[in-house]
Parts: sequence; C-alpha cells; structure tokens
Amino acid sequence: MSAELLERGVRGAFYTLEEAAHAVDVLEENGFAQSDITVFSPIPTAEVEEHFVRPRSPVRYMTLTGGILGCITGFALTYWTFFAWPHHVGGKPVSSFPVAVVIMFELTVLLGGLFSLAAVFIFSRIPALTMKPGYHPRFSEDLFGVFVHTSEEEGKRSASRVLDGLGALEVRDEPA
Amino acid sequence: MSDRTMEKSGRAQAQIFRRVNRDILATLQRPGVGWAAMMAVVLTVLGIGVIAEVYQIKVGLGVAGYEPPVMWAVYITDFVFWVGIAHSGTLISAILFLFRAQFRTAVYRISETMTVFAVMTAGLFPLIHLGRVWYFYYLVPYPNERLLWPNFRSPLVWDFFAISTYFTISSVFLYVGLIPDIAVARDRARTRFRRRLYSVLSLGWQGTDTQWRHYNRAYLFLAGLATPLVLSVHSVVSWDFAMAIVPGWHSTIFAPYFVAGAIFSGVAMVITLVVPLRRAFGLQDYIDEYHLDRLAKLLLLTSSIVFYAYLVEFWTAWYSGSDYERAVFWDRAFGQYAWAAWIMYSCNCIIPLALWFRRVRTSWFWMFIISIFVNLGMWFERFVIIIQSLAHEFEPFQWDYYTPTWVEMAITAGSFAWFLMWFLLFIKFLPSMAIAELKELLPPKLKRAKEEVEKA
Repeated sequence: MSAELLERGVRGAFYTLEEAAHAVDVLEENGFAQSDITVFSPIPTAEVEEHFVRPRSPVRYMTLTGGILGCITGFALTYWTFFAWPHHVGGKPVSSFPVAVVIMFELTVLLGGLFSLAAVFIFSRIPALTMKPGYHPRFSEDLFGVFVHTSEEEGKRSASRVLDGLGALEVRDEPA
Repeated sequence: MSDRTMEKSGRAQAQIFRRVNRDILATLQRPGVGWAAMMAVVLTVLGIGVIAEVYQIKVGLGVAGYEPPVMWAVYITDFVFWVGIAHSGTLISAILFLFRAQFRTAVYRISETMTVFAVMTAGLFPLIHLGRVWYFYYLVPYPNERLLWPNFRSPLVWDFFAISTYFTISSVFLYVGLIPDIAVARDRARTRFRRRLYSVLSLGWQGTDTQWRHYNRAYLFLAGLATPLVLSVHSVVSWDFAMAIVPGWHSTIFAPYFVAGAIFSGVAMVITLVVPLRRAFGLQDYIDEYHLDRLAKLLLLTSSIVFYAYLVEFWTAWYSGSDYERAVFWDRAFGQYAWAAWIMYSCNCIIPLALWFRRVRTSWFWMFIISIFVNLGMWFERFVIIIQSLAHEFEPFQWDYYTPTWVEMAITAGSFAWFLMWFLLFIKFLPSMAIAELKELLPPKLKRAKEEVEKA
C-alpha cells in the first residue's frame, strides 16, 4: 500500500523532491489537472514550481503597488507640511525636494514591505483556521507529499494506482 | 542513478532532515540551570537600569551628567551603538541572500533576531534622553493639532522615519522567515500550551507548493527592499551628526563610515552570541569553522573600511585648512579624551588585524575574545564621535570635560540586559535556526553525514 485513501482525495509521500515532482508529471499524464494536485514540502520548493505551469506569483504587483503608494505618500506628506506650515528661513525656498526624497524612500520601503507581507497572507491563504486536506505532520519534517483532490471512486483508484506505481510510501509516524 | 541507489539516497536525506528537526527543536526544550542563572543575572541588571531611569524621571535629567556643550552624551552613544548592532542582521539575511552566500543559512535567524531586539533597545534611548518621557508623542512627526508641526529639514525627523521603517521591515522579515519553522515546531509540540502558541503563530502554514511559491517571491522582494534600507538607515543616523556644523561631525564620509562601522559591530555581536549558543545547545554540526571563517572575513573587511575612514577623517581635517577641524582631531588623538580614542583605535583597527591569520579566524576562543573587543571599540567610537566633538567645539571658552554618571552607566548596562532578556526568551520559544533552509542547503558537516549514511 503506497497511498492512503482519504475522504477527499489520495495522498502519497516520497523521500525526495525529485520523486514528488516526477509524480506530478505522471499524474498529469494520467489525466489529472494541475489544479487538483497539491505538493507539500518541508523545504522551499523551486523544483516543484518548475513542474507546475501555474501563473507567476502576483506578489510582485502588490509589492510594486505598496512601493508606489509609499513614495506618493512621502511626497504628499512632506510637501503638504512644507506649505501648510511654512518655515521661512533666510529667504530660502519653503520646500526642499532632497529632504522629501529621504521620507519618500523610507515610506516606499515601508509600504512595499507591508504590502509584500499582505500578499503572502492573501495569496497563500493564511492565516488559515483549518488545515488543507492531505496534510501530514511529517510533511514539515522529512517527507514530500503529493495530494490528489478527487472525490470520485474512479479518480481515487486511478490516483492510488499511479502513486503506488511510483513507489510512494505510506505516511505514518515513525520514530526519529 | 538506479532505483535502489535513489531510494537509499532518499532515506539518507529523510534521516538527515529528521535530525535537523530534532537538533534545532531541542533548543526549545525546558530551560536548564544555565539558562535560568543567566536570566537571573540579566533581570537583576535590568532592574538596576530601571531603578536608575525611575530615579532620573523623579529627580530630573540633571542626574544624567550633561555638561554644556555636551548635551548629547551616553544615551545618544547607546542609541547609535544599538542601531549599529542592528545592521548586520539585515545584511546577513537580506544582502547575503541576494548574493546567494550559503554560509548565511546557519546564522541568519540569530542575526535577524538580534536586529529586531537591538532596534527595540535603540528605540528606548531617544525616550530616555527626552527626560520627560511621557511627552514622547511630540516626537512622532505628523501634522497635528498641537501646532508643533514636523520640520522635515531636520535629520532627527528623517531618523524617526528611518528607524521605525527599519524596525517594521526587520520584524516582518524575521516573522516571514519564521513561519515555516514555527509550523515545524507546531507539528512536534509536546505540550498543549506550545501547540496552541505555535498553531497561532504559524498561521496554519502547511508548506504547499502554492504557499512556497508566493512565500519565495515575497521573501525575495523583502530582501530587495531591505537591502537599500540597511544602507539608508545608518546613513540617516550619521546625518544626525553630519548635517550639523560641529567640527568632527560635519563630513561627507560619515554615511559610508557609519554603515561600515555598523556592519562591523553587528557582525561582532553575531559572533559574541553565536559562540556560546552553539556550545550551549550542541549545534556544532550546524555552525562550524566554515561559518566562523566567513564571519571573520566580513569582520576583517569592515574593520579595514573603518580603519580607512579614521585615517581619512584626519587627512581631511588637515587638508581642509580649517583651524577648528584640525583642533578637534588633534584633541581627539592627544587631548582630554585621547584615552577613549585610543581604546577605539586599538579595538577596531589593531586587534582585528589578527584576523589575517586563518588559525585565529577558525578559533572559537579567539573569535569570541576579538568580538568582545570590537563591541567595546565600537561603543567607544560613538562615545568619541559624539562627546569628544561636542566637548571641543569652536571657541576655547566652550570647551568642557564630561564624565558619565552612575545613572547613565546603570541605564547603559540595563540596555544590554534588556537586549539579552529578549534574546534568551527568543531562543527558548522560537527556532533560533532556519530549519527549512538548513534542510535545503545542508551545512558541510551534515552533508558529510548524509554521504556516510548513503554509503552504509
């Protein structure tokens, strides 16, 4: 038995990322859509990313939006203050762009960073109150998981066959 | 590779992954006697600092020993020192991440933590320096109904923006990095309290491909944003001084000089913290001579930059033809604060020269000793820049000699205790090493261990 049958899908576990990535390819060849497959990994997964033809992460747009917003806020805050409360010193101009640049820069970084954080939360769907189906604590330890979302008996059987054929392990707690 | 070899290799990898989890999570076990004793000392010193601050609030800022024209003294020295300490954290986590320097993996969590706690410590000093700390909100630079609108031409206002941005972004960076590792701790928590704590803090992280995809992207952007921020923050701190026309401060070299100094002191503090931590928790396989050697090289590089900046300062003072500049630098080397200046030159320029020798760079004992000297030297650097320059301003009738009082020294000691208190709490509650990244980029000793398991 290499895969565990669950109510909402089939889970297989592998020792390596390469095996998990290969399983994704084979599952696709067997008619499973990418959107029905979730890979769990204990390490940052550049390799699995390469196997999925998923759209590029939209995080960058959020970062850019935050950055631009911060820059505009910095400019607006300084220039508004310059003119709303003018300091007339020695006949010099009331406003000073180099001074505004410091504030604009800091707020660009600040809002860019905060928007990036918000992007991780929004797109990764965290904080999550309930765990996604298919997760097992060993997927944060030593194993890579592949979960196929399917509620049909036929789909479950087919996914199990594929994962079995690839030598997936049964997930169970083992002493370290 | 045959199926059998692949399986063997996979099993070996899984075994090493389990070992990484076990070893790093072992740091979160019930505190031992050593930890408790250290915490007791730290809390005692912090208590003394708090008593000194309460005394200062009750009696007035006069107990701080300010002596006109030295109206910025030890509190501002401490502020700049702690902001400086904060710098290497983001350098190691962000800049070295962008440069793909693998040695950062083992030490970046400790340095990021150090960054956040050092900024928290630094942030106390403008408030303490205020005297009437309950009016702190006057510092917050936003147009307000108190008719005290911020003057954006003042570098102190820039500083507020820089430090608060730095604190926020460093905290975000630290927390984002921690999320997958807290999930590891959640999955292995043994007590109910810990399970609940880590469940909340890990935000339901499961390490799915989608989560990693967005996470990796955001981490990259955060590193990209934090990199110029590191350089900007200590530049802005240096402008607190360089924008004033005080001889000894008014110099264009201040920004790069302060940034290099900050990284120098920060790396030294990382070494000061890592050496005992590694020993106390048996993390020898994770932080070894390879990491120490690279940190030492970073220390040597920044020491050389700082040394160069010291020399350039003297040269520009002479070349400027300004009598006041020349007088300040002559006084710095041979005047009333020469003792402090020579402590600074010895600790920051002479002692680090030992790092040219590989045997010193890979010796835990000597690196710890050198890091302590560098910390001391960098504290004195700020002391010299601030106090000696102010005490020797333009006209001889202005000159004076300032001596710190017991209140200032107690508060300074208290700040070290405050910093260490947070650090000690952190290492007992959250993973002090990046578990997920350590698994991805195994340190040299674990790589060898994995190969041995494969061969067996």
